[in-house]
Amino acid sequence: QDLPKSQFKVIGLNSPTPVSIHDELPFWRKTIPEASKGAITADITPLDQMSIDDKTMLRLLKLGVMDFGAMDISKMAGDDPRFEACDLAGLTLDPDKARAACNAYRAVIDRQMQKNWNVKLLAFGGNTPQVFWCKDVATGLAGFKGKKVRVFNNTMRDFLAGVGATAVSMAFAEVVPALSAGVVDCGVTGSLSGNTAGWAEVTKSIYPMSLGWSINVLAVNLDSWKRLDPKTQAFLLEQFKAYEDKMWATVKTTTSEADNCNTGQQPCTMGKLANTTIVAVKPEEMETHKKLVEGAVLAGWAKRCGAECAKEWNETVGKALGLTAPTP
Amino acid sequence: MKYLQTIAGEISRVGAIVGGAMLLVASILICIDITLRYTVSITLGGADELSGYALAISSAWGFSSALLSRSHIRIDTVYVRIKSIGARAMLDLISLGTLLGFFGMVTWYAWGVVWQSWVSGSRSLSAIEAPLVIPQGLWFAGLLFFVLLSVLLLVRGLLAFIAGDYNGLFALIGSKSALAEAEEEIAAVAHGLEQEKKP
Amino acid sequence: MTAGVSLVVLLFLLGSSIAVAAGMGLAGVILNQFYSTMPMSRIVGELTWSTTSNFILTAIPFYIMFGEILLRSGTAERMYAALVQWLSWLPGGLMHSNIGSCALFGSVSGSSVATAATIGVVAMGEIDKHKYNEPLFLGTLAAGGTLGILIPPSINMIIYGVMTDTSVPKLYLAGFLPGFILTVLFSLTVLVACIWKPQWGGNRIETNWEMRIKLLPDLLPPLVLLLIVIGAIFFGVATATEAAAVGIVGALAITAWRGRLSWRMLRDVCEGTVRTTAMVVAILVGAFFLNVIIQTIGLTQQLSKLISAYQLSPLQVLMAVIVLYLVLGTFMEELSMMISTIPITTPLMVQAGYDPVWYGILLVLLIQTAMISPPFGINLFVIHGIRGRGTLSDVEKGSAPFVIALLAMIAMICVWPDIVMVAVRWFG
Ligand code: NA
Ligand code: NA
Repeated sequence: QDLPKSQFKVIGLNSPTPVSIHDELPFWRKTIPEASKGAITADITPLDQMSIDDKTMLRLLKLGVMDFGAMDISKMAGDDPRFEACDLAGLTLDPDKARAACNAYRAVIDRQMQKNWNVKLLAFGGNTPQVFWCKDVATGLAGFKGKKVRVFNNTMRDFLAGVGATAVSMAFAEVVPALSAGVVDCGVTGSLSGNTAGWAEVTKSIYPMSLGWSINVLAVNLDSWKRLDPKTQAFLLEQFKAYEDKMWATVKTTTSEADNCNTGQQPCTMGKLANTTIVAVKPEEMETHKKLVEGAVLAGWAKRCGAECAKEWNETVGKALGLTAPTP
Repeated sequence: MKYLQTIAGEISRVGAIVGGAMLLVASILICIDITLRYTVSITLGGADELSGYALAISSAWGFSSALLSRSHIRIDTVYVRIKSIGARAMLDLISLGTLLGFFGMVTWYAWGVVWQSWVSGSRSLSAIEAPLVIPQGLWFAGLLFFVLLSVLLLVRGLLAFIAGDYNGLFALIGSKSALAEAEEEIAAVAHGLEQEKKP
Repeated sequence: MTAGVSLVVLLFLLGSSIAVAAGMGLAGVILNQFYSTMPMSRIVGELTWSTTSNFILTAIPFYIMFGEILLRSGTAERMYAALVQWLSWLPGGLMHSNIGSCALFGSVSGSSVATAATIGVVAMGEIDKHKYNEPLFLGTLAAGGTLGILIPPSINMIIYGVMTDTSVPKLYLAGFLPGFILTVLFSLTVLVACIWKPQWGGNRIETNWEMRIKLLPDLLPPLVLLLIVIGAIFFGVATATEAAAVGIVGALAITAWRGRLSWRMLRDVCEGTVRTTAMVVAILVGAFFLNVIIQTIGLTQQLSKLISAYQLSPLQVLMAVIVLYLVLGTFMEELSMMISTIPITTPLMVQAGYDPVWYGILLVLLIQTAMISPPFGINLFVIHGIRGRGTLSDVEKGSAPFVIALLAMIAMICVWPDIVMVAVRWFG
């Protein structure tokens, strides 16, 4: 079919992330123009190449600065606690579960975005898991008690409070020197992003229990969307579905590759070969983990989001994962 | 109008002192925080965030103080070589007009920032979960005051220009040469030394 | 094309003597209007909030406040008197104490202007008393003051670190050795001049071991502050940003110990800090906005393309960048020069294979050079103002030998990059 001509302005994810390199940039620069036989073209710039703060992406999308925007939604959890609801600390330990959780919550996020932000949700993606990077060899969950750990959001703070660790906040750029000097004992970030940012050079071990997947969303300004021809909308929705599948496949391949890089094995094309120890999560720790999630993490989030919100979560994400959040 | 400016001058002075006090308190909080963190592994949480707010708010309020003391940096390489007083006065008016233009735009969009935070009940992502409208509101108020003050000075400057009172205009909005700036720095040091010499 | 237009727009706006902040902001608006497909002006509210409430930038007001407190505590005057006893036996006498005091004060202060102003006031009375060659004496103060941003802590290094994602502690580590070498180079410059023309060196000052020992404790306060601020970073107590706050509390403690702490003093410190901070932040607001626009319209990529089209070798890129800053540095205000050019020159240099830490130090040296090169050099103005007589060209003349010393230092780190990098490798 012949689609009417359109030209989109897109601001994308941080350029060093695998999703940006392998999925997002090729999608907008190649897949879409080719599949639309040249009718649809897009001008995409990764947000770090514009020196924009990622916390402001949803606000910029609402202002109509760009038509489409991709963003790490947990960074927007201050604007609406629902944005971190399918990516709470430790909620899911593998990417399939994370995707299922977000799928179950899709309608809720879309509703909130349309209502408060004049923005429509189009696709969910993930990243390598958020793991602990420690200056010394980590000894498991119990070993974090009394340790200073750098985290960057409230759900991780709830998790750390549950294990008796001290949550420290500092800018990403300051973490490497802080780990090296011992200002903090551990830091939490993605298993690949930590590697590329040089965290492996100042740490001895990684504790791989996932504290989240830095779930990203692709969204569109509702005004821009409504201007489109229905045929174009249908075409794009089709494409976004395939794009979402591709992103989740990338999460799996990059996660295993990140482990390779961090332990000095090949193939390691996306990171730097490093020599850290990945301290396996012991089976008996899963019991503690479950208690932490159901206790500190869900209770903390439910308090931020309110009773109605927690109830809705139980009917969606909770049902998909078999968990119940307290309704304060 | 002169009366208005006296009031505005007082407000901006108080704004600057309060803003500085916020920074001072923030620095003390940070010291308490790192001491606790280093010695007993406890963190207050949020000292860094509060200092960020202190910087945003105090600088927004400080813009006015800097404007009144004519400390906003202008590159006056060309300006000081212009002999005509009228042309200089004109440049001073244009300079203030453009400053007002840019910060008027900043303030306009800053209102959107505060409004959005109010509508969505936004809170910070930190341990203290501060409702963002409070710091952003104080920040916006500082910007708004700066814009109003600029308008006042521009009107007074224009009136002086029309009346041909160039000296009055320079005293209000003239470019302060780098030399005068150095003199102030020196006065501050000299004041310190004087205090030293007192028994 | 875009690059040329941008430069013309910016230079015109700045040359027309409008405020630097507004000039950069308007240049952004104009460029956005003509070259961007996105309505980027709408982001200015979010951008201003997110950058000015950024914790890392709080180092700016903290070091300004730190300087304001030290300015009012008399610490500098006592330190100078002690260094006179220790350094003035060299040919050139007090001029070595000037440089030494600047280096020592610079190692606790993050700003060059504060360093030059403070030591300048303390030293100025000595010119007539001891019949020094006036221009050279003034030059030691103007040039010595610039050590404030090379020897850590340094506001300029923090800004460079934030804008380029470079580790500030690494920059600090890298700054020590060049800072020390440059101090020695400055002293050597005085030594050579005074051996060549002994009459420039002034009268010999009475010193003796008794006084040296007696005044030694006056060197302690700055050393203690140095240990607190720098030690906090390297012993894992605080991050580079937090350390600036530690400095304030330390300086307050010393002021209290001297019995100089009062409500009036605190009020003056607060007011002065906010006024200076606002002036800097206003420029930052304009500069960050312009920076986003420059990146959006792909100016940086265009410039790198241009350079790769000419197939410049890394050495030629380096030379081009150095010449650019030497030219800009004569007429541009140093902070705005730094902020407006870092997003363009840093990627170029990194692409050409230079280490970002090394480039950060090179940049600081170039900014120092700008601060004492006429016609616009903030340290020249400060020292001329303190002197309160004669002409500005005396200060310019006296600073010229130190510009040469700075150029020699720049050449040295280009030939031996290890001067900068060795500490980073050992301790980093
Ligand atoms: Na310094
Ligand atoms: Na200069």
